[in-house]
Amino acid sequence: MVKNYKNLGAAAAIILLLLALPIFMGNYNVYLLSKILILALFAVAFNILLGFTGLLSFGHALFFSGAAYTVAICLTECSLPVWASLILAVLAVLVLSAVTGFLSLRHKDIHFALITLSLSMLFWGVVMKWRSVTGGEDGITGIPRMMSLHQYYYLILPIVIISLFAIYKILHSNFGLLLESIRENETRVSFSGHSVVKYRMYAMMLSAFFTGIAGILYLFLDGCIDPTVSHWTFSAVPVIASLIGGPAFFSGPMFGILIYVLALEIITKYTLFWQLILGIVILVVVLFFRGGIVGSLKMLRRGE
Amino acid sequence: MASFRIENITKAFGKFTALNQVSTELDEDLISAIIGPNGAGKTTLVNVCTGMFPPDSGGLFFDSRNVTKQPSHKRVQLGIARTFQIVNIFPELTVRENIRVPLLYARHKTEVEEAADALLDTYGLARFRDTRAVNISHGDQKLLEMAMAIAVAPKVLFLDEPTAGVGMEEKEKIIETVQRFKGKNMITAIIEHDMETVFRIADRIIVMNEGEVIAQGSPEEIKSNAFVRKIYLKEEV
Ligand SMILES: Nc1ncnc2c1ncn2[C@@H]1O[C@H](COP(=O)(O)OP(=O)(O)OP(=O)(O)O)[C@@H](O)[C@H]1O
Ligand SMILES: [Mg+2]
Repeated sequence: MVKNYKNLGAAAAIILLLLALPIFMGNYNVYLLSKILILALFAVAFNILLGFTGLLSFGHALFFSGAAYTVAICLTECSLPVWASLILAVLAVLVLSAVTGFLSLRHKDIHFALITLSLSMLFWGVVMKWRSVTGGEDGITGIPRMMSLHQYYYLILPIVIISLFAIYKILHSNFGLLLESIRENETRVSFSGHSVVKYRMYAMMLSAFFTGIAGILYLFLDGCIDPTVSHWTFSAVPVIASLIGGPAFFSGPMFGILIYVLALEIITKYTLFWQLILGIVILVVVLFFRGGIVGSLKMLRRGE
Repeated sequence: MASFRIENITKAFGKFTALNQVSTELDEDLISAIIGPNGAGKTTLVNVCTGMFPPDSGGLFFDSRNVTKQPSHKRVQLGIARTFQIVNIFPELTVRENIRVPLLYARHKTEVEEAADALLDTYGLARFRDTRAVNISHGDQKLLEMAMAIAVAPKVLFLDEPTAGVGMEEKEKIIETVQRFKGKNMITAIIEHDMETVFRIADRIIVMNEGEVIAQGSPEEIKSNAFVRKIYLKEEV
């Protein structure tokens, strides 16, 4: 109980900070903060599978960019209204995740990772080649944001917070316990009378749904989209963030993204070898801070 | 009377025949012990009965319903549960969470919490409720797994060596628990190596060797069986 109040207090403090910060910030930093919020939602949604269900997806760019491209195409090519584009994007994500879920249901570990990777690469291929619709390598530009960056930030913030809260609630419900038990021991879940396949499917669609929301928010932030967000290297972003922050913890991927984005900002200013440095950082965290940043902090607090 | 019928089950792994035309019947309110030397096919038989993998041929019937092709979670829903020879629980979840998982299937969600506490009490695990399951003793893990199997309110329960590798005191607790299943309209099958225990709790004994059932009957009948005497009672015949 006491712990819960502490967590609640910390969450309230962070939310207040996030509400206040843009007042003192210029456009660039508000953009950066928006990006962190969106990617944090992306990483937490991804971690429903990795940390809580025990499935390493290496293809989440598919859902992120799938939703974003759907909205972009609906708005520009089809001139649909925003609300219709959003509904179609959600449907698209649910279909994509159902197909991915179906093809990967009975596979685990590296096989699961490779199936998700392959499907997302397939999508990337389509995006690159289907120029008439997706704009190929150039992507789609001119997506209207319809408001200032600051205003948009204050639209993103509640959406991200509500989404994170919803994910938190779901993961701490009976359904969440079933996902964790799948991570722990699929055989015992079956012998407890539950269909593993069914719950894995739900987890996949849930994760994809919130990833799609992040993708759509990202689209309007930039006002354009190109295939980099469909590429497998973009699928690696939530993987890296979860490993840095600690996949066993709900908040792990958020801290991971914060560090990832800020480190990238700083490193790229000073050196062209940012990938090398990022690689070293990840290696150090994975080797010496098992459980990630959040895991290490918790151990410190317990005095271990 | 409910029964679980095993009919001409054959199962091979590659060229090796682990089960060869195995037939037997498990009856309600009886504790049936499955015995036999290492590698006899006891665990494989339980695996086939509970849906870990399908048999190559033969059939499984519970209350004259053919369950041969049902996946394991469907068999649990019909009332067929099991424990494993090697402890099979959720190691990183707490003891209480372990129990809640099968209860989430078996009970209405308003009853889960209460049922969980009741089971933890019955199995003497209440003081570990918030301990992660990896951190309790092997014997308590065995008990926990039994409690998890019982949580789905099974009509047929397969126990694969529930007392293997546990201390004397815990072993006694497990045996007493098994004995309590009698008279609860349950079909209980237990794989057990210790003959003293077998003769103490079994109403019926099924003897396996090299993938075949070589004898089955009452404890008295089995006691006088030549093969059993040779293997287990170390007698020259
Ligand atoms: N999945 C499998 N793949 C290949 N061979 C297997 C498999 N499962 C069991 N076997 C083989 O089948 C035979 C019977 O194994 P089983 O585990 O059923 O024996 P058991 O009677 O339970 O023995 P124990 O008393 O040692 O537990 C053994 O020779 C074993 O090596
Ligand atoms: Mg065995």
